[in-house]
Amino acid sequence: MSHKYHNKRKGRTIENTEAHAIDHKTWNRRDFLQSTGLFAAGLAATVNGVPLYAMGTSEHFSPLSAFETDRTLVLIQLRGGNDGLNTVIDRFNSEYYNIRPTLAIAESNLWALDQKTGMSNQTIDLKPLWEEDKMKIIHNVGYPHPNYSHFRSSDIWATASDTDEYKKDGWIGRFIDYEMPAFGEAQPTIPPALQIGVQTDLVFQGQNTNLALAISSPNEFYKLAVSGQLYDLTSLNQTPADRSLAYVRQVANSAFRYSQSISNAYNKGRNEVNYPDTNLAQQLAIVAKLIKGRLGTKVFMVYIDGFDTHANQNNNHPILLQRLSSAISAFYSDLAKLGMDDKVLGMTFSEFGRTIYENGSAGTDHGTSAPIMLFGKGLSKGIIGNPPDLINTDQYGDPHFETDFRDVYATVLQSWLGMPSEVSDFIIGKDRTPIEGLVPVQNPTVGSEAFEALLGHKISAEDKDVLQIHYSILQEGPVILEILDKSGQVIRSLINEFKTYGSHMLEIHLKKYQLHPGHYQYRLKTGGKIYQRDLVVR
Amino acid sequence: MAGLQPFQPSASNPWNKQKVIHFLRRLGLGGSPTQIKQALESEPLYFIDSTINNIKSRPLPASPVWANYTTADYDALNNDDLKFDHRDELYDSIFTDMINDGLRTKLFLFWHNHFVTELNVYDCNKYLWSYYTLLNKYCLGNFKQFVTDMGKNPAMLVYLNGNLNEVGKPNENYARELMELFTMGENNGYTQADVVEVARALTGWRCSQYSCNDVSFNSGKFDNKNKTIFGKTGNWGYNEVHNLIFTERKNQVAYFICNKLYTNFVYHTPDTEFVTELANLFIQSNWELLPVLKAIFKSDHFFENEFIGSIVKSPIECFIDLARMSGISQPNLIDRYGTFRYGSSNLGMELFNPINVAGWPGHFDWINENTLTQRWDYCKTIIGTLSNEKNRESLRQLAIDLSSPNFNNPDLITKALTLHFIGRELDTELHESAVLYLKGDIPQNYFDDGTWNLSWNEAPFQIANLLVYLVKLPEFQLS
Repeated sequence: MSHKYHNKRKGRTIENTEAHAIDHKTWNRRDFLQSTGLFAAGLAATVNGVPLYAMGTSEHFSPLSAFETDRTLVLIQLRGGNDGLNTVIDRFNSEYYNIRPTLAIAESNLWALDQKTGMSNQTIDLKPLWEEDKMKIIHNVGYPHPNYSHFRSSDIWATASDTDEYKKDGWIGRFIDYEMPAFGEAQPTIPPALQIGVQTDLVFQGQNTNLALAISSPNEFYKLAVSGQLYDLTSLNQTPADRSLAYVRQVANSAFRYSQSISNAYNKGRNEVNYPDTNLAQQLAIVAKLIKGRLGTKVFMVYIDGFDTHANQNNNHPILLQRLSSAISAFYSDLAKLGMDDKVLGMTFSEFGRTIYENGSAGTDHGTSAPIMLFGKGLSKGIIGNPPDLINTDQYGDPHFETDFRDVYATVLQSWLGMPSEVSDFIIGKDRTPIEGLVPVQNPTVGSEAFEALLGHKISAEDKDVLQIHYSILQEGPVILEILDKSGQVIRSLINEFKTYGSHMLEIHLKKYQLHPGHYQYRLKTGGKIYQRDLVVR
Repeated sequence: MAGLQPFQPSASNPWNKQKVIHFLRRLGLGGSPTQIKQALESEPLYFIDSTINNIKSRPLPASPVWANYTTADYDALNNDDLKFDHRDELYDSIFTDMINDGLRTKLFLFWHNHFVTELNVYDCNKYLWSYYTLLNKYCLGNFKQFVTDMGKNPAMLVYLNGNLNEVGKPNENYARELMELFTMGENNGYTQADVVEVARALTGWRCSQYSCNDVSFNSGKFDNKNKTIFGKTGNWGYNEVHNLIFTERKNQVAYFICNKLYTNFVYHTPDTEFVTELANLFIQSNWELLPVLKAIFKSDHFFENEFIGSIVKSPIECFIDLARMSGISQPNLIDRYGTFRYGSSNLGMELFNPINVAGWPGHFDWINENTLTQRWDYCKTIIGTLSNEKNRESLRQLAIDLSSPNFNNPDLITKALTLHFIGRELDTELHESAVLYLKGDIPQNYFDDGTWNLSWNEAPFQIANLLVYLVKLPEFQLS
C-alpha cells in the first residue's frame, strides 16, 4: 500500500514547503546568466567596422554551415515532471494497481499498444500513429543519482551532464556550435534553432552565445510572422518620445536578421489540418508551417506546462495527455500532407518522472525516470526497454532507471542528424551507447566537403596563462589562425602554414602575446572557409 | 512653445517615480534606488535645487601622485607601462565615480564633449589631469571663466595648436573653434577676418606635449600690434578677446550655449521660446551656469510627458544607468577591461578621445544595427555580474523593495521592475512577454497556487532573465 513509501524522502511534495525549498536549493546554475530571449542570437560581429551580417549572402561567407541533412528535430518539453507510470501503462503489473489505488489507469480506460502495454484513452489520438509505425516508446529513461529539483534536473537534461556536473552550455547548443563554427562571424539568415517559450533556454546555449531564437508565446510569434517585424511602428505618434522610439524600433526591426526568412517560410508554409485550440497545438502549428515553408531550422523546441501534479492528479494529468496527443496527432497529419512526416523526429522529455506511490493529496511527488516518446514516419513500431520494476526500488522507493537519457541523445545525434561518433562524443560525452534501431540512420557526413574543421579552445589546467587552441582539419592545406579584437581587427597572427590532415593543438602564453583580460575572437581559415569563436581572457 | 515656469505637482501631474527617474537620468547617469526613494519623499523643486547644489559643492577630485609628472619624470622611473597604468587609474576612478554618483560625471561628459580634446593627440598625463580637473571645476561654474581658462589649458593648447600660434606665424585653429564650437556657433556673428585677428590676439602661449612642461606665456611670441575684432580696434590680448566675445557677442554666446544645453538635457529639437528665456537668464546671471541648469531641470517644460524617453542614451549612459538603477555598486562591477570602459569604447565612446573636435554627435548617431545588437551583448554581461553569487541577494532585495507587498505576483513584480529600469510602463503586449521572462522556467502551477514568491532561490535568476529581456527593448535605449 502506498503508506509504506511515505516520508522516505522529504522535499518532493509541495505541501511540505520548507523541504520543497531545500530541493530548490540544490540549484546553483548560472553564475553567469545564460541568455534567453528573442535576440539571443542577435549579436552582430564586425570586420573593420562593417557589420558582417550585411555580407551574409556573399559567396565568401556562404559555406559556413555544415548542415547537410534535411532532417529536423522537434523537442517537446513536458514541464513540471511527467508521471510516466500513468503515461505508459504496464497493464498487468499488479504492484502498479496496488501502489496507486486511486490514480492507476484502469484496463477499461486504456487502449493497448501491445499485449502488455497500454496508454490511457485520453491519448487515443496517438493510436493511428502507433498503428502506422510512426511512434516509439522508450521505457524508464533517467540518469544515475537523480536530482529531484525541477530546475537542477531540467538543467541536467538540457546540458546532458552528470548529476554533479555543472555545464553552462546545452546539448543542442554544442551540436550547433560544431555544425556552424563561424556562427559568430558569418551569421546565418535562418535561426539554427527556434524555441517557443522563454524557459529552459539552456538546451540551446552554445559555448559563447545562445544559438536559438526564442519567442515568448504563439501570440508574439504570429505578430512577428505576419508583420515581419518585432516591434510595432504603427501605433506611435509624432511626439518627441514616440519619434525617438520609432527610430530605435526601426533599427531593432532591421537588426533582427531572421525576420525575412521566418516571414517567407511562414507565408509559404500552410497548415492543412485543423489544430486543437490549445497552446501546445498552436506552437506545433507554427512549427509545421515553418518546416513546410522550408525555413531550414534544424531544431525546434515547444513546451506544455502543468505536469507538476502534486495534487488531484486525475483532474489534470489526463487533460494534459489529451492535449499532448491531439497536438502531436494534428502536427504529424499536417506534415504528412506534404510528405514531410518522415523528415521530422518528435521527441518528448521531462525533467523527471514522479513517485510511484500516491501522496496524501491524490497526487504524486517528484520522482526519477519516465518514458520518452518518439514520433515520425518510418520509426517502425516499438517499445524499447522494460517497464520500471516497482518492487526492487532504490532507497527512496523510486525505480532504478534502465536507459540513460544521454544514450538517447547520442542516438539522435548520430543516427537521426548524422553526426560522426566523435562529434557526438564531444557533445554528449564519451561512453555513451547509442540505441540500435531507434531511428532511421543517416550516414555521417564526416569526410564530406561540408564537414571540414573543428575549432575550440581552453585554458590549460596546469597554467592559467596558457591558452590551448584545438583544431582539426579534414583536408591538408594552408591554415591561418589569428586573434581579433572585439571590433574584428586582426591583432595577433598565430599560424600561417601548411598543415596535415588531423587534429592539432597550439599553445600560446597569454602574457607573451600581450592578450590582456578582455574579449577577443580567434579565427581559423582553412580550405577557403572561415571558422571563428569568441575568446574571453580573464 | 514654453517658458521657464517651474514644475508644480498637482493631482493630474504628480511628482512620481517616472518623473524622478527622468530627472536623475537626464541630470546624472540614472538614480540609485535610495536616491529615487529620497526624491519621492521630497518636495520636487527643493530636491532638484539641493541635488544640483550638492554637485556644485563637491570637492574636486584629489590629485594623484602623477598629476604633475613630466616626460622626464616618467623617463627617470624607467617603466614603460607606468604612463598607461596611471591612465587606467584615472579611468577606473571616473567609472567608479559614475557608478557611485554619476551626477557630476554627467556634466563632466557634457563639457568634455563641448570643449573637445583628444588624449591620442596630446598624449600627456599631466595635461590629461589638468584638462580633467578644469572640466570638473567649472561644470557648474562661470562659463566665461571656463572658456578663458580652457584656451590656456595645455591639452587644448596642443590639441588645437594654440601652442604653435605666434607672432608672424599665426595658427587660426583655436581662434576659429573658440568662436565656432565653444562660444558663438558656426557663422554666428563673426567673419573670417575676425578669426585671423582673434588668432593674433591669442598668440604667445606655449607648452610642449613632448616634454609635458607647464604652460607659459612668452611675450616675445605675442603679436604686439593692433587687431580689429568685431569692428573694434586695439592691441587686444588674450583676456580682451574673451571680454569682446562675452560683451560684443553676448546674445550669440548665450543662445548658442543654452541651445546646446537644451538639446543635450531636454530634446534634440529646441523650443525657441524656452531657449530664448534661458539665454536671457544666462546673461543676467553674468554667465553663471548654476542658475541656468537649475532653470532647465526645475521647469514644467522639462517634465512634459513627451520628453520622457525622447533621447537615445549614449553607451556610457546605457551601461552606467543599468548598474546604478540596480543599486549594486560592488567594486567587482568595475572591470578595467570590461564593459563599462571597453564596451563603451567599442561602441564609439572612448572617454578622452571623442571622434573629432565637434564631439560625439549623440542621439540617433549612437544607434545602428551593429551598435544596438552589441549593446544587448554588453548589457547581458552587466546583468551577468548583477546576478552573480556576490550580488544576487542585492538583486533579489531590490525586487522585494520595488514590488512590496506583492511578493508572489509576477505581473506586479514585472510592472515594478519595468518602471524602475525602463522609466515608464510598457505597451500591453510587451508587458505580457516581460511577465513570461520573469516566470522563466518555473512551472505555472507554482504561480497559480501562490507558492512562488521572491524568496525562492530561483528569484534572482528570474529577475536577471527579465532584465535581459528589458535591456533589449528599444524603450530601454531611451532616456
